[in-house]
Amino acid sequence: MVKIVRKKSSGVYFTPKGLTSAREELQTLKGEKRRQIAERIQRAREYGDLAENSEYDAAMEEQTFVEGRIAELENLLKEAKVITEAPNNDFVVIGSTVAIEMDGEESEFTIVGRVEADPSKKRISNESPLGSSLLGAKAGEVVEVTTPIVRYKCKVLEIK
Amino acid sequence: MSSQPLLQFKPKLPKLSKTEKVVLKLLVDAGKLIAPLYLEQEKQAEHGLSKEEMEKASQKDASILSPYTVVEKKNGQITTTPYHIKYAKYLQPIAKKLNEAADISENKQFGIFLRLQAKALLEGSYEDAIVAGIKLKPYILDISIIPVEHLDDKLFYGKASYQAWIGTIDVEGTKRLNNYKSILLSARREAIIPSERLDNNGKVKAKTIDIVLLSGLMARKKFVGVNLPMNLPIVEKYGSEITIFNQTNDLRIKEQILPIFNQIFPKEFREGFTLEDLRRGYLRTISMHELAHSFLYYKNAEKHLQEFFLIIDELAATVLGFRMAGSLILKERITSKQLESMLVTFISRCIYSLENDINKQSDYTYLRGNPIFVKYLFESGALKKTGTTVTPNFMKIFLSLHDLSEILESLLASGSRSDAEFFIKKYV
Repeated sequence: MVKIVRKKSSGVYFTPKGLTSAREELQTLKGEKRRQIAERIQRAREYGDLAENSEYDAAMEEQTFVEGRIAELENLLKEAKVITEAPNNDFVVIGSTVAIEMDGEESEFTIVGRVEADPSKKRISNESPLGSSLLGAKAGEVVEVTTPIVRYKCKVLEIK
Repeated sequence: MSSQPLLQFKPKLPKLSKTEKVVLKLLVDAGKLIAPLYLEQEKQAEHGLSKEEMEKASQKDASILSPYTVVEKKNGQITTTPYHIKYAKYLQPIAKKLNEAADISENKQFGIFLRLQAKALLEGSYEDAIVAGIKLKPYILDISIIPVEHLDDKLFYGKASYQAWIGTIDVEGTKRLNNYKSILLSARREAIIPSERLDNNGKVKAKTIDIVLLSGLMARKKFVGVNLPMNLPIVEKYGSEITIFNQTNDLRIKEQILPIFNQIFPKEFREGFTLEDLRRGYLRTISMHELAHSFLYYKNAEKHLQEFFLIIDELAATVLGFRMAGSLILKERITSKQLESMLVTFISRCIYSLENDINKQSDYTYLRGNPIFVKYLFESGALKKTGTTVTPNFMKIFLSLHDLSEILESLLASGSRSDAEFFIKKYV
């Protein structure tokens, strides 16, 4: 499942692969998953007394979650912008893989749209404080990354 | 002493087979038996020998300083007895329970691990049991029942205390912890003196557990996290494992952190944090602390800083943990509010230990870093006190911690005993 972060600006960036994955997820949720939940609710109803029926509660909870996710994906896909051009190495753009030095740490990651962001897999959102500060930076450049609490200087070591 | 060395919890257990339930019960029975053994061990620790006497005697008999021997003075002679011999009558029934559990375990590797722990208790083969624990594949049941932590030895911090935890894996908590681990430990962090630091960040396992029973030292101190083993050569060879405990976190929040939080922070400020924010905040603080240890294995720090090593090492890990949490904000893995929750819970915990743990006879040196933490923040103006109320400036706190982190890491990398003493005396 791709990670969803509440939308802050117009346009949601996807790689072609990420877009396909989000569309497939939506299709699965609207088809197979909705059918499964309906069956689960029906089965739970057959156990009787809905007030004391934990299986019914769990099924309803799952339905709420899935419907929320469907609505979220539909909204995101309405505003999807696909990154079609391969990034060049002159400056950082969405899709660039960058090596940076910040606070005594060297790390490397790819800047992606927020839907596909997953820092544990080295994919950082273009809307995150770090991602947004790096956009447009050139190799060797030092940018300042700030939040209300944290403020660091970040050096771009390499753009790949 | 502040509390009994036995804590039992009733967490919501995952689905276990009939056999797993029986195995769990046997392990809990074994864990309970650690408590009287730990109390006996406490009595033995009062051997009346000075540090100098022991150091001198250890030149002829190195076993005096072994983590696993009891040292006694009889008729003017210093003698040592290995734990497994000295405490055999306590250990045999524990090992029996472990072997019974191993006999019926459906998980072959876990069964072997239990037998190795039983064997370690009876024969002193602790390293085999530690290594088997590190190599153990994830399994729903979790136990550690051999002496490991050195925090009770007030002379050298070298003698291991008996302790046990028994619980089940919290799958979601473990996923979250490993997610932080992937982000934080995949970065290359500069070492102050690279040749002095052991790089272990590629060999760290991490899990979160729901505790059924805690016994021995860790029950008395309500540990929320551990990073084992403590022996650097073993860490270098086999790696290390972080374990985070949900129920002791809840207990610390309820008994220690919440009362102080309510007492020191203004009402309007407190209203910005839910109980869940605080619970998660402290759990995250401990998780970051344990992960940060992986970047602080300076090979000669213990030898150079001597009795001040634990204070500096523990505080350095906490402060670096906060610093690393800063990079999680920038990568949008956690929010500023979550970092604030980490900070307010730790500040509350520090003030609790300042008022309780530190001033008592049962003082634990590793906690002495806590007052340094808050005093440093007051001195830098990041925390302000008006009457009985404390007001934090989070941006200043973060900046101050950056500087404090550099000082502490320098002490670990190249400081001497007197450097550490000078630094500590300035704040304690």
